This record gives sequence, C-alpha cells and structure tokens, in this order.
Amino acid sequence: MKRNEILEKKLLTDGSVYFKLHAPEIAKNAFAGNFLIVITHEGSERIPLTIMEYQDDWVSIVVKPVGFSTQEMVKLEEGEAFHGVLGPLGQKMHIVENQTVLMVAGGVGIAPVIPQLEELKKHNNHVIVIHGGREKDAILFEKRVNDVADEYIICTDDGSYGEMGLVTDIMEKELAEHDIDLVITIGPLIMMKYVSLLSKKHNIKTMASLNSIMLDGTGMCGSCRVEYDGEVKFACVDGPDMDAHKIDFDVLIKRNSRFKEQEDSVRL
Amino acid sequence: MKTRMKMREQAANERIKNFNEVALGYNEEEAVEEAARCLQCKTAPCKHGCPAQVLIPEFILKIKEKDFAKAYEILKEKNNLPAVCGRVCPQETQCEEKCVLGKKGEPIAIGRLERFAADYGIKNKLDKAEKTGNGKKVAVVGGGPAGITCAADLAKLGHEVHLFEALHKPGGVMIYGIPEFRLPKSIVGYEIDSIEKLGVKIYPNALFGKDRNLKDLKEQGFDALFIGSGAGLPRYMNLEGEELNSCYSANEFLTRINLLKAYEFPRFKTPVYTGKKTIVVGGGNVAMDAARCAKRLGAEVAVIYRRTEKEMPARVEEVHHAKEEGIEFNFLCNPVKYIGDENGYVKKAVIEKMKLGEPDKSGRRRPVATGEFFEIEADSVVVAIGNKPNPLIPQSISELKTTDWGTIEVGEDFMTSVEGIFAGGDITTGAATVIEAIGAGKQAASSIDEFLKNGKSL
Repeated sequence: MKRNEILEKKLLTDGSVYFKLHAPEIAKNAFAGNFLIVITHEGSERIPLTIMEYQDDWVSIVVKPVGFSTQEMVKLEEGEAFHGVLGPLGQKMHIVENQTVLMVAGGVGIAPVIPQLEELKKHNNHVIVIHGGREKDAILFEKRVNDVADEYIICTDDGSYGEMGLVTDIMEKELAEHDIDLVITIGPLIMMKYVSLLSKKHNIKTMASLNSIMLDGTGMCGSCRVEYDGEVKFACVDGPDMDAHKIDFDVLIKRNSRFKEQEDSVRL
Repeated sequence: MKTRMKMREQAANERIKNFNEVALGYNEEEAVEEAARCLQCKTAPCKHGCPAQVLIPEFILKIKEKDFAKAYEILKEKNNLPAVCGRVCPQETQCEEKCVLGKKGEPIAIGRLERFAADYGIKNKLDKAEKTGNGKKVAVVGGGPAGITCAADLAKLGHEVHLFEALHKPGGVMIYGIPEFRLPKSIVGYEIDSIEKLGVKIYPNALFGKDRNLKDLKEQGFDALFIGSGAGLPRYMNLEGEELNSCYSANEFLTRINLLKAYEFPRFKTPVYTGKKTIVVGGGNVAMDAARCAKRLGAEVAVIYRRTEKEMPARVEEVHHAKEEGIEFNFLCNPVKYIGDENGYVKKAVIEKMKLGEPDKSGRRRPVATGEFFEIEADSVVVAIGNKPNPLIPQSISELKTTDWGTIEVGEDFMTSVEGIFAGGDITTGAATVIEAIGAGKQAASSIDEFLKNGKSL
C-alpha cells in the first residue's frame, strides 16, 4: 500500500468528493479538529482540509471542487495516491462535558462537524446540530448525523428540504428554546460570521473552524494569520478552531480572496 | 596578482527578466589561474574562519594542479553541501577574511573556487553510493542545512539515519528561502541526492511532534535524535495595515516563489501577487532575496531600512547586485502603517524618517524616530525583519529546556537537556546562516557518534 493512496472515493450529491486515504501515522495521531495539508501532484498548491474520520491506518476528507486546485484534486481515482499529505495539524477541538452544545454547519462544513459531534457525545453532552445548505443536494451525511445528534435540524435556502431559511434563522429559535452552553460552527466564513454575531448577542462561547489560505501549515509563513482580539494569531497552529468572538471575520473574508484574480484565471 | 579573478555574471538588465542564476561561475582556466594565487600558508588561517573546517589550501592546491576530481573529494570530506556553500556562504566575513592575501590586496576567492570544484563534481557525477549501516539508528528532524549535514556525517560513520522533513521537499531554507537565481534548486537537489546515496532515508511530509513523537522513535529502536527544525515563525511589526491582503512575511513571499514556483504560475499552481510596486522592509539577506524576486516578477521595488547602508546585515555582494538591478534603497526609514484600498490590498505606506542614535547591544547605532513622515505608493509589502524559532518541537517534548527566546538549550556537545536528544542550527541559535547551521550539524554528528560509541541511547 502506497502512502496517501486513495482507498475509497465517493461522489456526493453536492458535487463534493469523499476520499479515504491510507495514512497510518496521521490516523494514529489525529483527533477531531485537526487538519491536513494535501498536495495533489508535484507542482500543485498545498491545500488545507479538515479531517473527517480517522481510524486504524486511514483518514478521510471531503473536497468540494470550487477552484482549480480542488478540481484537480477530485480527479484522482481509487488506487492513485496524493503527492503529499501532511498532518495531523493544528489544535484539537475544544472539548466540554455534560453541556448543551449547538453545532451549526454550512454545506460541506458538515464533514468536519461529524468527528466533533461524535467526540462531544462521548463526553456526555446534549448536542443539537443545525445543517444548512443551498438546496436538498447540499445536505450530506444525513443518516450519520441523525444517528448521533440529540436533535438535528436541516434547512435549505430554497426550502427544497427541511426547513426554509438560513442557519441563523433556525439558530435563533433554538437559542430561545434551549439553554445553550457552547456553539461550534463550521462552514463558509460569511455564515460563521453571522453565527458568531448572533451567539455573541446571547453571550454564548463560540468556536469557529477556520480554513484560511495556508502554505506550510506549521506556523512558518503567516499566510493564515487572523486578527484575534487585537493580536495576530495563526489559524494553522493556534487554530483551526478558535474563539469566534475574537476573530475579525471581515479581515479574514478579504484575506481569503487574496488571490482570487489569479485563481479565476486558471479555472478548469 | 593583487586582484582576484572576476566571475562572469548575467547582465543586470537581462537577469531582472528571469530567475536563472546570476553568477555564472569560473571555467577551468579561470579557476586554475585564481587557485595559483593561493600562498598555501602552513598555518592556513582561512580554515579557522570556516565553521565546517573545510581543508581550504588543500582543495585549492588540487585545482591549481588541475586535479579537479581530487579537489572535489577533499571538499566533500568536510562539507556535504559544497555547491551550496560556494554560492551562499558569507566568505568575506569567514574564510576569506582570514586570508593573508587580503592584507595587501584581494583575498583568494575561496567561495568561487569551492563552487567551481563542487560543480565539477556534480557535472561529472563523482559521488558514489556508499551504504554502510552497521552502526546505530539515528533520527534527524528537519531537512535544512543542519539536519542534512548531521545526517550525512552520521551515515558516513556507519549509522542508519532517517531524516524527517515537514515540507514536501527536503532542503529547508535552501529550497523555500534562497531564490533560484542565487542557488539553483537542481544544485540543492543534487547535493541531497548524494546524501541519500550515503544511505540516509528521507521522509518528506513528516512532521515530528504531530505524526510521530519521541515514544514512537524509541519504540522503533532509534538510539539518538537530532533536532534541526530551524527558525520558522515570521516576525511582524504589529503595524496597522499588516493584515492587508498584499502584505506578506518574507517567509510566505519567498516560499510561494521558491518552494512552490509561483514565478512559473500557472504552470505551477501557487499564485503570488506584487502589483506594480513592492516595498520590502528590512536590511538582511532575506530582504535582498525578497526584493530581487519582486523585481523579477515585474514590480518596481523599494527597500525600507531603518538604519544606514553601513549597518545593513546583508552581504555587500547582495546589496550590490540589488542596486545593479535597479532596486531603490530608502535608508533611515521605518514604516509606521499601511493604507489599503476597498478590496483590502495595500495602496500606500506611511514611512517615518529615522536618525542614528547611540549604539545598541549589537554595537550598531540605534535608529531613533524623528517624527517626520512621508508616504510611498505601493501595491504590496514584504516584511523581512527576521524569524522566531518554531515552537512545535519544544512543545511536543516537554522535558526539553528552552531559552526565553524559544530556542532549544544545548551544551557544547549539542546535547539538549534530554539525554540522547541533540539540536543545532537556527533552533538553538536563532536565525543565522547556512554555513553556521552546517557547522552545528557537523559537530553534533560527531558528538552523537561519541554518545553512541559509549553504548548510550535515547
């Protein structure tokens, strides 16, 4: 078995791809919240991706083909291997016990929510999951989440599945009904920003999983830096899960489109 | 002859359009002629100036005698990376500074001759595979100059060496930091290949402290560990506007260009953006590298340095090359903030004029603010004011003693506070040069060999 060989590849309903990789050292050391740097071919970009599962000698990731590098990534087939995979990187998730936790996921953000959800259940928490997507096809791993979560609410922008509305609309209702101790949010930056604004209003600690632009993923380049309560933090070593109320999301949103022009010029 | 043989170079107006090597090296005639200037001093003061203790007069003599293969062999005896050192060592403050010829004229061009002999060895494939491996098992963390040297020396002594490198290519700063036009990556690649030929097993994408730890190494039967993980964490000035999209640390800017070949975008897939004008903050070699890279990407470049040219830590040769290439220098200047446009890119920098005050601890006169400001229009900024040691490894081995600066503490034998764990290079000294890291890797290798010979292990 080659290092980083693809053991399983599945196309998901929203066009994302699930990959299971042979990576024994990573699997052995990984924990919920950790991420990988993945290099498809020699000469490809180094792309950070949060780990979905880790077991025995394999780990899994979900890749949404949105730009050139992720499009290139999803072309790899079972039996082929990624040029390089580095990890597990970053801090472990924030763990609590015997609490009520609200998890808010957007789109493929549900994939990294799963290991955190499972870990929270091991620690005797009551976990409510809200998963929002543009339409029905964007709702992934429904059964998996449903089996573990105590409460599970799906919503879509167009109402084609679950409730109609944004995750923050649902979140507002849940906050009114429950005494929430912790919010964990994983998804697009703009969604996490509004989740964070809302939870701040209710004064509930919130962790957001950041997916900034990275190169080495080990603290060396500073590309992923975050304005964090007046300080500079690196998402790769201080995160990826960070206290959402301290993050300047507006700066981060701008920084995540730093190379948009160049990236658009090489779209497949 | 009081003056040294000149080395041919790509003309400045040509080279700013490409990333090819600037210095072209000596040919055989030029090398022999330069080698003939060597006085072959018995005391060989030059050797004392070399952290790797290269047998300098000996290899130069062989060049003079046109026995280039032997010259290469002599070089390799002490230094595993001669083609790298011939190019990037600051010889003028080391071996060449001690040269007797320098008293009345120009010192012998040791660096250029080293480069010549090393390139000869590479071109003629003089490295042989010599795998031994009847000794002990040693893990080396970090594939930069310190780690590579330590690994190679230990392999030569018969030990089984496994080298773990976090990036996808070994070489450390020689790969991600120093640009192609100063140190071609094919040269670094060749020197690393020659180390693999010695039997060193290199694992890229392997991050000690994350995908393996000390316990794993012990279980796998490793007898000693060398840490050469380098200085990695970039420093910023904590200025308003440093968060802007087109403000880079030098590490990021250079890694995009050198490791990930952004200058060949889109053939290589990692982008970089300079815009029409780039400001580089800092006065070291890294600042010069960043400035000259930005120039080659088509930007106008201004270096901003808070002291005067005299205090610049960069090599004179680098500053000279940068000037030839049309890079503008603003001395006694310090940025105070960057102003961005509506999309978050740098638009201009506000700079404060400085003057020199009393000398500081380093002996250089301290820059003092004047309260006088001006603005420079710029599209991008590269902050090249140094690095801090990367805390990943010290964090993963809690018994490891570190200094207040975050560097790992070692004794004279390069052993850390943990028996069997050695460290050297930037992780123990803070950011320094390639050759100093090589020197540390070398001495650590000999201490590790001694440690193992005494029957000790991790």
